[in-house]
Amino acid sequence: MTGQDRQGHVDDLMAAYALDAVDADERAQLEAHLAGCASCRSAVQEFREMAVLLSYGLDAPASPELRERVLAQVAAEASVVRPLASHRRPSWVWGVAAAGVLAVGSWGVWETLSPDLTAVEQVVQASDAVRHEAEISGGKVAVVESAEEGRAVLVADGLPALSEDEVYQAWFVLPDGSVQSAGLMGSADPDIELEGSLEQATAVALTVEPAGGSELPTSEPLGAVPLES
Amino acid sequence: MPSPHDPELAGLLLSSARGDQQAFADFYDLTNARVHGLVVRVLRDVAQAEEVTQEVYLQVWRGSDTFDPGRGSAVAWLLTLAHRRAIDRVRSAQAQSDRDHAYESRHDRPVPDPTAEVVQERLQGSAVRSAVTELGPPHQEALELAYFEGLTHREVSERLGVPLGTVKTRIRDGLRKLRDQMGGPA
Repeated sequence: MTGQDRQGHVDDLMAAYALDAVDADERAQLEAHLAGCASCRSAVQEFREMAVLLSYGLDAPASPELRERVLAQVAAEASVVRPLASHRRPSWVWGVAAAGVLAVGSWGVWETLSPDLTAVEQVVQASDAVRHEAEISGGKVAVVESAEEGRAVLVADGLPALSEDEVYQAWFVLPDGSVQSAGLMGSADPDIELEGSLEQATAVALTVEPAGGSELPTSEPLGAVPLES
Repeated sequence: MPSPHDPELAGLLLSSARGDQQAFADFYDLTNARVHGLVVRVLRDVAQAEEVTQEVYLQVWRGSDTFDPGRGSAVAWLLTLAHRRAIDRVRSAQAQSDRDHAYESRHDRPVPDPTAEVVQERLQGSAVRSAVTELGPPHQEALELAYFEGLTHREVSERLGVPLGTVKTRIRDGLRKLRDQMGGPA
């Protein structure tokens, strides 16, 4: 949006944009314009500084539990982001159509209800189930382990949908910072039994990988579920 | 309610960006009441607000390297991010509830949560003390509907029955008036 004729319209909306009072189309349009217009960027910034005043006097401390959750999750992510970052440049080995690859595009195909519990349900409902949770990319991700069942599972809700040629891959993060694949899952069916043992792991991290998964993460983790001892 | 000095917050954000978890914790301690207060005001539901506040701080941790002290204050950066997330949550909840209303029969709907009403009463109390109420009705109304209720300028115009151009002007002038009254960033 560089034409003079539309400039006025854009200026008009900068204050509303700074308050998030525009719809998704306008937001996209304005952001495209802002990317190339320093004077509008500084106008928006000025309105944002003014908007700070709107919440003056509304202070409400969050609960101490929230502080603990936030700091635990940050600690878990800190332990995984650095090791992954160091893997970034070397030649990665891309997993080749491994066995057990999720059926792509299978969503909408629902299994008929069975009276038998699935492997995931058995663990989730085990009497000794221990649950670790985190918020990742706006979704809820939980790792549930059961010593009785001798297994751990990952259940997720609300993760963003992926394209057909991508999968989520779970990784055990080990104390030395190395990672080990724990399984693949599609965004349509994000509950899996984790492959391997949680015993050594300090966290379970999630990345987006090409369909078929990868031997080592090829992207920054979306987040991690800390497994406090 | 004195706000922490912005240079201190900016310094803590820059340290967080280098992976300093203690700096991040200090940043959290200095700012969480402000962020959570804003998010609660927008969402009017303490449980949901806690989720959003948590998401905000994780986003702060992951994105602290995008903060540039040359471009603006740390508190504006933080509250922009927090407000965007709260508004996105309100709008997606609104979309969800529109869908629910279209498909669900009346008796399937959840009963109102009594705690939400208590919170709302408290909110109305605190709103009275917030700075925006000093502005006078036309500006206050437009700013509150836009910033706290999550309405777009178009929706504000419909709600108030005034032209779109008037709403845009009230939002813009209301913000300037607020700055002039309070004499600089809080």
